Amino acid sequence: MKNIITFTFASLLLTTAACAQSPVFTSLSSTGGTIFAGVKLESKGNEPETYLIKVSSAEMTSDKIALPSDISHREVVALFPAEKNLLVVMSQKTVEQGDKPQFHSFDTSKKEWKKLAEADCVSFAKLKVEKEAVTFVCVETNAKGDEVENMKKVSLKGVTLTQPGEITLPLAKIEKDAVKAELLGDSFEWKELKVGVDKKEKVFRP
Amino acid sequence: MKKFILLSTLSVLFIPFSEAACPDGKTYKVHFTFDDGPKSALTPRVLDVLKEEKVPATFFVLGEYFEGGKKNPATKSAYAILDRMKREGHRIGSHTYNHIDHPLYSAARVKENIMKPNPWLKDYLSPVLRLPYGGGSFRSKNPATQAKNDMVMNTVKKAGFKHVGWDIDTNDWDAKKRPTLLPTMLRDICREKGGVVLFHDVQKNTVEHLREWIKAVKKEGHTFGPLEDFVPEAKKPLPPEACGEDSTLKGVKDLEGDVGKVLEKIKVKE
Repeated sequence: MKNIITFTFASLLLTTAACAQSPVFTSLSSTGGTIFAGVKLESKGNEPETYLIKVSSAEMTSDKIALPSDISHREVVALFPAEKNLLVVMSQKTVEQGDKPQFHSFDTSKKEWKKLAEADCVSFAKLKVEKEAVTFVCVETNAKGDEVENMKKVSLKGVTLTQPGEITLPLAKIEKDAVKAELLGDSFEWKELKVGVDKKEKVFRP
Repeated sequence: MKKFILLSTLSVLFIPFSEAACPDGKTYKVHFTFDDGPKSALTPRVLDVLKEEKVPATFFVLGEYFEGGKKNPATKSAYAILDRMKREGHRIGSHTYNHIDHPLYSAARVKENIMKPNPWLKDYLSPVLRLPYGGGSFRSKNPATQAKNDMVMNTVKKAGFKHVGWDIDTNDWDAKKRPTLLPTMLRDICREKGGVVLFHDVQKNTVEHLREWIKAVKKEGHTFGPLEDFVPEAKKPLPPEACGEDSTLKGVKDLEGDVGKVLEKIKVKE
């Protein structure tokens, strides 16, 4: 069996791992791979909208994927590859405080979106990714005014993630073999994705 | 005397360059604002720092902390904090009743959320309001979204408030962005040429670092001004319609109809 390496990218999260279960995200090897990222598109006078961009590092081409309209103004905070051609997108409105992160799955074959869950955690930087759940190390201020860390687990309703591990946000750079990718702009409001393969380099926008 | 004039001239020439924080060689005026309070364990500590650093600020308070007004004994400590804010020269604005994203709700609920706290806060509020998440104040190219935004903003206006957003969002609440807060804020002050800065007085992180952030802004040569330097309406008294019923209720009913018409048009097109 061919050793397939997944190279996924989040608005700030990047993950790289061996992952034969999710061929969709594929094949980052010496011949290239696929990179997903959440990037903001500003249109003059309007609130910026977020899109996923999918870059083929072999061909250095990209596709723009619109988010569902009810989350199109949110920021993509993390992306998780999952079984059955799914990509799990975690989004949050990072303007002002109080918004709870939402999880949606995107079926990369059928191009279908589905809302999975909402996390009862506003402020966080660390995530523990398990096969069917994500646990937030949630930073909260209690009634006494002390800051405490509470663990908050969110079940992803039967979706199986393929890259368990611990993540500290934001992550904006990934590098695997000859491929490098970097999100450019402010954290979670990234505007561009720079991808380099060997000596070739290209900047992608939605 | 000549020597004095020469030295004075040199210092005048020298100071702006030595203090210039921004790439354009300029320094700017800012106004700090704090949302989501008051919280008795933290807001007084924010007030302590502001007093010591002589920084005027605006607090956009949530009406739910004043439920029932002064008759409710549970609101005593929240009112004591408002009294102190007023005494120490800060402005108090409305952050609506509770922290909802208004465009996601009906016109009636929006109106209720904006109007409900005003009778409890009428002796304290300036005619300024900040919608949670800035909800409704942004432009959207999606007609349905824009219709809802217009409904929210018209309700704010009919209630007699000027909406006050922000020029610089520090994201002080967000653990993900903490490591870059100060350099990003200083960069954004230059980028936006000063302006209104958003914080939250209900975050321990903010309370603990506020003095350091104020000192950093001052060190760069920037100055602090009152809200009216940015929003002249802040000086005015709270208008009667903020606590009134009939006029605003009629307006809101009209707005509900407007949103309905836009949504109907979109449906027909589809």
